[in-house]
Amino acid sequence: MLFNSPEFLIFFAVVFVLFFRIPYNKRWLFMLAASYIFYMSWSPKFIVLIILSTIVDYYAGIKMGQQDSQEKKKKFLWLSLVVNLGMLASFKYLGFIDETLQTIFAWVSLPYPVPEPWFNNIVLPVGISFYTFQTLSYSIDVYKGVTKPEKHFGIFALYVSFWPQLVAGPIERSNNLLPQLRKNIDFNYDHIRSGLFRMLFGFFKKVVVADRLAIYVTEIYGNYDQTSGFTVLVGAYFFAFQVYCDFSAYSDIAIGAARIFGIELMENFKRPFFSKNLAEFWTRWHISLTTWLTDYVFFFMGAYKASTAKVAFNVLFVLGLTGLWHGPKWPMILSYLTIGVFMTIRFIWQSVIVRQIRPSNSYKLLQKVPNWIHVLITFHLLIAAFMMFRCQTMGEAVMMYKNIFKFPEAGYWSSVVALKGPVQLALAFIFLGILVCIEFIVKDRKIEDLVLSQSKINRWVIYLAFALITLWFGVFTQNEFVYFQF
Amino acid sequence: MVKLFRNILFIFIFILIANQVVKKILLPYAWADNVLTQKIIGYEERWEEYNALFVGASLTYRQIDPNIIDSIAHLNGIEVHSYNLAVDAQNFIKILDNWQYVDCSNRNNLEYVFIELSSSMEMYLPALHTVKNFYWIKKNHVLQAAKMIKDYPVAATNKALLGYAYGVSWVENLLNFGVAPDVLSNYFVKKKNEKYFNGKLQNGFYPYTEKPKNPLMGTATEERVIFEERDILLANPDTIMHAIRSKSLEQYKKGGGKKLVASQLKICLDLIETNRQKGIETIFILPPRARGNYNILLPIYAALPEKNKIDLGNPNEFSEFYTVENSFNFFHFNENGAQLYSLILGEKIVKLLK
Repeated sequence: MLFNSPEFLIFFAVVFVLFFRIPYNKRWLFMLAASYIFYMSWSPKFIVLIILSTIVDYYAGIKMGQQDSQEKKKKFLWLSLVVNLGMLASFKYLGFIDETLQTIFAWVSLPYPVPEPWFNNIVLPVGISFYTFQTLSYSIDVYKGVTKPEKHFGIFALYVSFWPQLVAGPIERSNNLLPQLRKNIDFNYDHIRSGLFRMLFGFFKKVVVADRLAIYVTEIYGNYDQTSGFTVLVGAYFFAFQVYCDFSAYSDIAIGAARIFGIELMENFKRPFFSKNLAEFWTRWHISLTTWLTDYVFFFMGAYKASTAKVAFNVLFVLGLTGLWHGPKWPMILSYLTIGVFMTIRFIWQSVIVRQIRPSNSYKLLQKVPNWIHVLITFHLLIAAFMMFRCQTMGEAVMMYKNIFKFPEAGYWSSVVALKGPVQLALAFIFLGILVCIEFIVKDRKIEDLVLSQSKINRWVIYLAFALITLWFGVFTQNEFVYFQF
Repeated sequence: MVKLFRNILFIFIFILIANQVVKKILLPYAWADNVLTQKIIGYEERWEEYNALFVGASLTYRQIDPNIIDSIAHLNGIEVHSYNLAVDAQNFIKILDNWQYVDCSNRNNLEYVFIELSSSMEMYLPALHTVKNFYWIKKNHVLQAAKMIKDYPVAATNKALLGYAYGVSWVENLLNFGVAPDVLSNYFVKKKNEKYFNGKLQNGFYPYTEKPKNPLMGTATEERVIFEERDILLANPDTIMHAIRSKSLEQYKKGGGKKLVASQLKICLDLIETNRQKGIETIFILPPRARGNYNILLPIYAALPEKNKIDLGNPNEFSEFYTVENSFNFFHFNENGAQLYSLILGEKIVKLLK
């Protein structure tokens, strides 16, 4: 069930009302059942995969805890890696690998030896990229000794399947989530008020901003061969904001919902479009994934403790992997690789060129450039990279980029306006502007903390304003969260 | 917890009150349905002339020409001046709601109301959560639907789904889910002249046609859907028409086949009586190709008084209504078919009224 659906509101209300009435020692069971019901509302049969991942990683964790050397722990770590990555690869990447190989064979004019494969029709289980990474982080942390193995199978199962973050993150670390799941949580009015407002803000971002932008993004990208000039640019900007609002909205709702039940999930977005450079963007966008890849891949590969060429390779590898995690499509991979190229250029500039030529007048001048210009440049580099992320094929991506320079408009902008009328389009810009202003004002604080620190009257005005705006201006036709496809 | 629920209740009540105020001040009847709005405007412009009204869904809107009906009646010495108030995609409950609107207004000189019996109380589920789908649903509609769902001869899961659809739509209407853009458009966007929805002669009849000069439907999506249905029919016309005809025939042979929906029958009978007390004769029309619903509609039809019903659905009796030549898509006539239908209906009406 989508967060922005009546079914979820009913589910949430029931879970909330019952949770605090259940004895402490039975709450894990209740929440686990709720989590499985939540997941099965998407795809009942794929609950088997979550249970399999839970059993394998629980076993691997316990066994690793019993070993006295890293060597002996390794085989259980391998078991976890093979099962989880195997599941992920089978459901997500086999079709992509097959398609890519077919393309290569076609380029070199050789017959493709594999007959029509059945796995092209496999349905991707919702959230598989998220929960497999979550369980892998547990196994790796147990292996490294960062966290102790969880002995309570039910608590561990709840860690794997905790419903607020099960299908689209944040990807939680075991040493953050597991201890909280073991605690006896009392009803806390402040947590609940804070959590409810965070959820409300998430709903605002999702149904008022993201889903409104989605109308135009779908139309513009859906007609990529006719879209040109200004319209392409509008589509690109709207898409960047759509995916940010959509994904961060889910995280807001997940964080808010978890807080109501006494669980603090990690922040997943920190105003990423206000980043002054791409390295900073990497620490502000989809933080749970970027930190995962940084901690378990980038540092494993040596991070910055290597030659410039190796570091550049590490950066590109991790960014390419990030793109691949998002989806088995070349535009997604190349989109992140493009960001990786920009980051690598900056790294080489800073570590090689600047060191070689020493701070010169021109470099000092660069440092005097106001932050907002850095922010604007970084934002537009991201737009340039993200533009292709939405495309289904590289051909489509190439055409979109070419069409930016196609002038004059063939009247296409007016048909975009006509799609839902000028009012909807004006509202898209207005609410996007409002969101940007909110983020500018809130800065790096949590919005709910800022709101709850206001006087009672101001607080209530804000609650009612957000509630009414979300209800009245929301787009309520069924729009899935973008990140569910991962 | 008490404080929390009290605060949530306060927010909920505030929102409900704000919504009712907005509705009363800003939102006229049919505000979210541009076609129904035009139909009502068309009726109210000349309401004094009309003594008969056709209400229903697309099987009335697109297929009954009041001019033909009126002419045939006039030739037989019966004064009928009718208007076609029907609109596409109206279920039974909405059709009655449209009639209630006219009935309760002071703009009504009516002696006859012809109501399409074809639409059941089902909702077009793909349109769930859209403003056009829920904007009209109030408590009385939900209660009406609940009574009918109880009797409806469908599986329990379908009943649950229907109940859910009505319930959720009512809540969405109470809370004005997503209505603001449409409301703002109503007030700030220069309205297109959409009188074409009332047809060439502005009598409410607007047939489906292959190459329309103006949009046939209220939205681009709906326009696309009806032409897609048409393409499917044209790809395999004989097979499809044969299937539609056979299904209708089979249902007629069984006299329906499903249990009587007693609550829907009661609504019809009560309406006949209530209207009669106001001097309005109510006639239910069972149209051809009623979307495969004869199994439910025929038992209701059979229980209606003879002078309050007309049946034009039987494929054996009206085989001309089941031909590809007269069709626009699966369930609707093209202009020729609509003319023929209106002629035959006119004769039936005259026979009934005499």
